[in-house]
Amino acid sequence: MDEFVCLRIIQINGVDLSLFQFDYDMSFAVFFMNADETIYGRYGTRSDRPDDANRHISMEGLKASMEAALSLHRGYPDTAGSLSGKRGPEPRYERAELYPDLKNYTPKINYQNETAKSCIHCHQIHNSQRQGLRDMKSLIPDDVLYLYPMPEVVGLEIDSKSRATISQVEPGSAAAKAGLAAGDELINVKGQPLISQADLQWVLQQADATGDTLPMKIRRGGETVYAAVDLADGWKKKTDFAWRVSTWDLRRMVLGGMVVMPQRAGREEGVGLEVKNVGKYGGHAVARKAGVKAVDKIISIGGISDKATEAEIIAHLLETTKKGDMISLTVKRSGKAITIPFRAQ
Amino acid sequence: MKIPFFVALVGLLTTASASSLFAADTKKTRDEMVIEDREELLKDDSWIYNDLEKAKAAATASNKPLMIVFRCIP
Repeated sequence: MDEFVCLRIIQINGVDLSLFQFDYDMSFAVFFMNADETIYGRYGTRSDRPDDANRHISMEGLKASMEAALSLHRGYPDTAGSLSGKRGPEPRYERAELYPDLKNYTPKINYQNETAKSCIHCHQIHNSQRQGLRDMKSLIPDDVLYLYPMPEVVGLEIDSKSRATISQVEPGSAAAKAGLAAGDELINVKGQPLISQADLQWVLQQADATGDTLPMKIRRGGETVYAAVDLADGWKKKTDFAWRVSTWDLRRMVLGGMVVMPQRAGREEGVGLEVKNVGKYGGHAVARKAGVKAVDKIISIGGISDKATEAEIIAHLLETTKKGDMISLTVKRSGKAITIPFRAQ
Repeated sequence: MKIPFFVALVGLLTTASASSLFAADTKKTRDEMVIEDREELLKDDSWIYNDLEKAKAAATASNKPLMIVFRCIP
């Protein structure tokens, strides 16, 4: 720890978004960086298992990432060439408060009397990006919807106690086809040195959603080997984003504020989901005002009537509707089918 | 200095993985938690609070890398 200058940032107001690009749905994320703003790497991963955060982060894993960052720092500037990919493309807005729907915020938190209220939460960046696209009647591209894919999407599971060691490879997956195996230590991917699982997610975030190849340098049993993982068109769509904080706003856009959950096993009907609760305020109350109630079973929505996940339904509705379009919804309540159309936002 | 420094980071990680700690502490408002957190870190010489330029200057002077923690107070 003493070998770092440690900085704590608690809000995204005033933060340079061209420099600090990471998964904004994280409530804990770490950047390792040179004073000249060369990024060594990122740390911090979360997924659909909020009850099991240790599945993706640990003190041991953080320590391994810190050691890897120090190693890159010691080798700097000789390591600079391999680090250029750690910075992302220029964002649409340089700072969060420049987004049209966040323009009432200031670059700094007001600690006097509205501390929390004046804070732009990191996930609001995702919300604003998507809202901007919806306002322009544009589709939300895969890169903006299926954010920071987990390694599982290509068939990899990373040991949370390691820097970037594979703990499991899913048979038949893209990773398995590339010959990757449990115990392999990922050294670099697409030319970027990895200091953490978050770094691998960074590479996946930048990879082309319509198909790409990820060349990898691997340490296996003391030897260096090379592999290449091929990603097919649409590979990002395997990402389940329902757990994300920013999905709350997607529910407003195309579910009228409904939060859904799987129906009781063995008694599923329609898409296999039922309404867990419906929002009460503002744009989140659209479904409630249209007549939707908690525990309504969703039989069909937006043309989907087969079993689907919440993320699949949201993605489908985002692709097939624009702001202002009507969305058809049929639910079953007390054994009776009811049609409840509502408007997309 | 080393022990509180490490403890501070453990605290950050622990809260990241156990938000129930905050949920259980219903007496404090979000504002109070943020201000308390700020006061604690401002007193801690091992952390720089919300000041990137100051942190970069310190990193340049010491030739150390930066470890920048984005941590939301839930």
